[in-house]
Amino acid sequence: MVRKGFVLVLGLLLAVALYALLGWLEPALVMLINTFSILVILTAIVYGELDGAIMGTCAGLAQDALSHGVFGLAGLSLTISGFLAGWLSRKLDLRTFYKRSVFIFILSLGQLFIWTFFYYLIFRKSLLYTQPGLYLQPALTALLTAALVKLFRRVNPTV
Amino acid sequence: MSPTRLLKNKFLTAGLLVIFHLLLISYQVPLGSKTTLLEKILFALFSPVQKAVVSSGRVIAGTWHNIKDLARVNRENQQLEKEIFFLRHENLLLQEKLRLSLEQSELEESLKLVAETVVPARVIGFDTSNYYRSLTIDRGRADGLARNLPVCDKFGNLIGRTAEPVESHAIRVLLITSEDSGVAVVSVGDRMPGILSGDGQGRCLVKYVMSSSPAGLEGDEILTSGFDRVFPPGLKVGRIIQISTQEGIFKKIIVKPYFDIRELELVAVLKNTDQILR
Repeated sequence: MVRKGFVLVLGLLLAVALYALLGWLEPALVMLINTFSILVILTAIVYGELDGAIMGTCAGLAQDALSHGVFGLAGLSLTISGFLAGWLSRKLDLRTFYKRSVFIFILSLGQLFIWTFFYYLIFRKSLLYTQPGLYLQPALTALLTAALVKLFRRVNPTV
Repeated sequence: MSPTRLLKNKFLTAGLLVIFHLLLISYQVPLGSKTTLLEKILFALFSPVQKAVVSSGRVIAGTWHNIKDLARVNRENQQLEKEIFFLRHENLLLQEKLRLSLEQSELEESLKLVAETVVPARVIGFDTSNYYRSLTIDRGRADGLARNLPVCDKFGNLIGRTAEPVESHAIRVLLITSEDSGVAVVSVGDRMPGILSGDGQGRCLVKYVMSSSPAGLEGDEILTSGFDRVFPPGLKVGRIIQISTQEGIFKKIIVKPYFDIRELELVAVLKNTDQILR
């Protein structure tokens, strides 16, 4: 339990660090690769829906705190996607890399939809219009997360 | 039902977390750009991580470049030594000219004032939802910074103003390319006044210029006017790239800002601007 908590906190710090590194290398990369979303879906697939939802809350609030927007917006979308990722991954057969990638792609698309939908409700502006790089985010999230799940299971086959 | 049993009910826990977020959003929306205590705490918690990563990255990249550029630097060094020789002499001549126009005490006072007013800072993070909206810098309350201070790039072009949350060693900067920003500006050519706001895509718009007004020239430079009492007058903002008269009552004036988001590594925060302009 303590070890898992430590891994999750470390994961969150790593996500923030990677996000900072990507922004430093090229600001547009922050739009293409959402490190927080990757972390949440990875946690949900590896540890289950409850940990996915809690990580979604923590990572989402961290993402909100580092942006000038509505506090809680990313938290909401990541909590929902974290829970769904964990719950559905237990019900579906996601053993191959291809199946896992497609599943994460659909989830990530859903998460992006929830986020942009609430953003539109509040600001009456579509983020997908002002930031076209967001369209590529689900594909990159799917590929990177599926690869990370494979790596994680190779390192620790018990999870 | 005990709290541990409640937590074991996964659907209930997830539902409670969703409700928590909806409450957060409903509390935040009426506040506008004001930050909540929880956001301030999380910003204070994670901005040191950003700062550490960017600083380490800079050190590693710097070391790599240093090794790579050793031969070239040696050649450049010889060339620069020659240039420094001439520049030193030129500097002495200019100092002398300055002494003639200003008293020594006045000169020292004004130079001291400039040094106290400009706070150099490094960019440590960009906005996660739109990088044209805001960024985070590694200076804060400990360096005398507060909200609503103008921020310029290393060439003196305006990039935005400081905003909440303000932490001891980190502060957010609201960029002029953000839809939430507003800067009182004036054009150089025909002194056209207006309010400059961002379009969220890296460009700015000068708002509230009547369609019937002849004011506005394509290619004209835009400066801050100082009417908003946030930005001092005369700061360079950008250049008008397009003017179109739409069906509405106002013109659509598009301004390309001078600053480049990819070149923003070192920025300058101007504090006590009223003193330096006096």
